[in-house]
Formats: sequence, C-alpha cells, structure tokens
Amino acid sequence: MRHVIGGVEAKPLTLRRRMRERRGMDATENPVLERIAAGDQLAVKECMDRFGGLVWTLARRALWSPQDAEDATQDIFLEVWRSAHRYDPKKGSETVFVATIARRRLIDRLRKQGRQPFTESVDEPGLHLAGEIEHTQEVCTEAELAARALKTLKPAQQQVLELGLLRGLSHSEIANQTGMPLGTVKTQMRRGLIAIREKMEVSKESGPGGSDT
Amino acid sequence: MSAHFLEDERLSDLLVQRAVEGLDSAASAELAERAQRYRDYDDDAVDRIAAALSISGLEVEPMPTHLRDRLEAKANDWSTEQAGQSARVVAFPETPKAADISGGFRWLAAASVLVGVLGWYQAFDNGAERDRLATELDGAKKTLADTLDSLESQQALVASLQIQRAPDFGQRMSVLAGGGRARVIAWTHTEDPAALGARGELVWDNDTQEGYMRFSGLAPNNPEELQYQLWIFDETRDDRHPVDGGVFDMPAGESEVVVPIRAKLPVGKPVLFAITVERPGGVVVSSRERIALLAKPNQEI
Repeated sequence: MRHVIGGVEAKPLTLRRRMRERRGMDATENPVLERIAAGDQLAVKECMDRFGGLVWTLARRALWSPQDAEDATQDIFLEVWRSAHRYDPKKGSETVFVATIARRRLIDRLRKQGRQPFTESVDEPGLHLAGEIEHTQEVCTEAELAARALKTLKPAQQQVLELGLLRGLSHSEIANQTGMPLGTVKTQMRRGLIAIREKMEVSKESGPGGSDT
Repeated sequence: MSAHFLEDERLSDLLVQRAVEGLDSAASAELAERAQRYRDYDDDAVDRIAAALSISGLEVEPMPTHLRDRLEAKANDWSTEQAGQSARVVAFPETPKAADISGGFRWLAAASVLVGVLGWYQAFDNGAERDRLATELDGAKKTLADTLDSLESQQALVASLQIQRAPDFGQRMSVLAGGGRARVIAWTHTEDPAALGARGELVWDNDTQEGYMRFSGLAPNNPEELQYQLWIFDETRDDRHPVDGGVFDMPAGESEVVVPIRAKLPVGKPVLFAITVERPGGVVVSSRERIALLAKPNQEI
C-alpha cells in the first residue's frame, strides 16, 4: 500500500508508529517536555512521535507548499525542544504548548511570505491525502474545553473567533465579511477569548485537570 | 498595578491580534512595553486559547515517513549538541586595549571625546553652545574616522583570536542560570526582518552585573554594514538613556551564539533588555528605529 502526500511518495506506516501517533495529542501518561528540558535524549524522539502528526497537520493546513510545510515542521520541533524548559504544566497541556509554538512559527513564516495566516485549505486541489491513511480524530481535554466554551459564547463572538482562528481571516477581513465595524470585530474577539479563558479556568477548577488526561 | 492584564483593552487587542495574524515590529514593541505594567502578565495566555481552539476536532494526519526520518536526524544532532553542552560561542569583540594595539589609544581617546561631546550635546541643545559643540563633534568624528581605518584590520584579527580562545560562555551561562540568583528571561522577537526567526534567552545576575545572551535564528550580520547592540533599561535611570550593553555580531553559519553582556554602566534595576540593529560599532544613543528583540524581567523563565 502506498500513500501519496502532496505529491510526495511516502512509505506505509508501521502499526507501532500509527499507534504512537494516534496517542499523540492526548498522551500524558509520560510527559516529555520536562524530560527534554532535563536532557533526556529519548524524550526528544518521544516528543516527535507524540506530536509529529499534530505539528505536521497544522503546518499542512497553514502552508500551501508541502515542502514549506516540511521545513516548517522541522523548524517547529527545533523550537519545541529548545523551549521545553518553558513549559509549565500548571498553565496547560503539553499538546496546547506545542500547538502554541507551532501556530506562532507558522504565523511568522506566513508573514515573512507576505501571506495571510491559515487561509489555505487542506482541501485545495492537489493537496489531498491519497491512499488509506487514517485520520485520527484525537482528543485533547484542553481543546475540548475551549471548543465547549466557544459554543456558549454569543453568536457574534463565535463567528469572529471561528473566522479568525479557524479560517485565518484578519480583523479587517472579518469586518468585510461580516459587515461588522472593525472596532466591533476586535471587541467581540477580545471579549470572546477572555470569556473562553474564564470558562476554561472554571472547568479546570471544577473538573478533572485541563491537561491531556 | 493590581488590575488583571487582560482588562487592559489595548494589551488584550495586541495579544489577540498576535494570536490571529501576528504583529509588526511597532506593535510588538508596544506589547512588550505595556506588558511590563502587569506583574501577572502571561505572554502565552491568548495564544494558548487560540491554539486550543485551533486543534479542537482537528483530524491529525501522520507525518510522512521521509520527513520523520529527517526530523529524527535533526533530533539526534540536537541531542548530541545539548549533551555536550557544545553550543558554539562567539566572543563579543572587546574594545582593543591601548597597550595591545597600535592606534587603539587614539581610537579610545577619540571615542571618549565623542561620547562626552554627544552627552553634552544632548544635555545643552541650544544656540551657541550647540554650534560650538557641533564643531567639537565634527573634530572628534574626523579623528575617529582617521583611526578607524587603521584599526579595522587589527580589530578583525583580535576578534578572530578571541573567537578561537573564547571562554565557554555557554557553560558559564548555564552555571549562572542554575545558581538561583540570576534571572533567566526569554527573548521576544519583533517583526524586524533580522529577528523573525530568532529565539533564545538571557541570564542576568544583577548582584555581580554578569550576564550572557543566547541567540538562535537571529539573522547573520555583515559587521561592515550593521551590528547588533544591547540596551538595558534601568528603572533607576532616565528611560530615555538606557545602558549600553555592548555590540555583537551573529556570524553566518552559526546556529546558536552565546554573547556576554558588557554593561557600560552599573545597572540598578533592569526592566527591559532590547536588541537594536545599529551601524557598525554601535551608537551612543539609539534611534530605536530597528528593535529586533526584547526581554522583560517579568517574563522570567
């Protein structure tokens, strides 16, 4: 079985690797970032196994060129390893820490290219994943909490956050698309994010931890 | 200030904008400046929420095998580098001593005059005084220009020798960071093109006035065209006149450099460290037109 990714031929995945990557977004039975910071070389590779799919997927969503996505993935991992000592489990999960670094690096890369962050769709012609690679609908508690909190917001706040964070539109593009004044877009986005943050804090305090458990 | 940082609308707007579309250098600098006002400031607060939302329900694709292989090789290199604490270090070229280098004395003298004149020039910026000081300044500049030419090649030689016999600043930085007294602060890059991929941190021990800066991803510079310069904003001094922390280069081909901080004046209470891009040799007063990196003590690692 062969899988073609963005025109680049890839070898079939081993079952073991699939299982590792499937666990990826939500595995905290053995956190890796603190171990990387402590100099554990095995943890560096575990980090790659655990978050490789996540980082690659974010890069593919953000960047049109598969080559660019590959370069970005390497760049992001280097930054994750270097920044591992900054990870504070009290602030959130390892998954979200890695995704935060990934988003920042991707936004930097897109700004350098003079392009709008996260506007390209993975469904662009020619970018389909071919073959039979399974898409794993992973779960991250912190991401679930955020998504749940998003659904409780006012429709206008939900709309601007979805357009900004998921579709990658800038404030001014959101204003054009929704007809809202630019100031209103900014206000709704700010209030929405703060509301989500507060709701997540409450959820973390009242329920099981917000990390990848 | 007791208010929560997210209650600051402008600060929140900047954080949201950074999370969605990034910031230009002016906005990055403004964010860094505003963030200093809040003890509870959390630089990642909004980015984390944006990241959490963006991965919610994400269908994760496995990484291509060839990419994983390349990444694994990179991981091996990185691990080896870390294990050996072999971060390449490049010495900050010290100002040559008069006794060491012919011509150095004149250079130092000229520089001293220039510094003194410039300081005076700024303090008494008016009419006749200004004209007289400007004449002195021109004279000092000429002396400086005359001596710089002859000194240039010798400086290059000294710098290269210093690179070869540089003490292990990376190791010293680690020791200082682990000592419990020094502050370890991450760099935040601005939108300046030289710094877009830059990362790293600085370690500063205010008691001993010793510090080191680690950079990776900072654009290599041609020292004949521009140099990087550190400025330390000191709460005990006028913030229009930060302390010069030294000029340094980012050599091409180096993935990471460690540079010692050489504050030209005692630092009382540092509130911001800033790297600017300046003309060769640095400047006495920065125009702050190109701010590349910022590190705030309230964002300690």
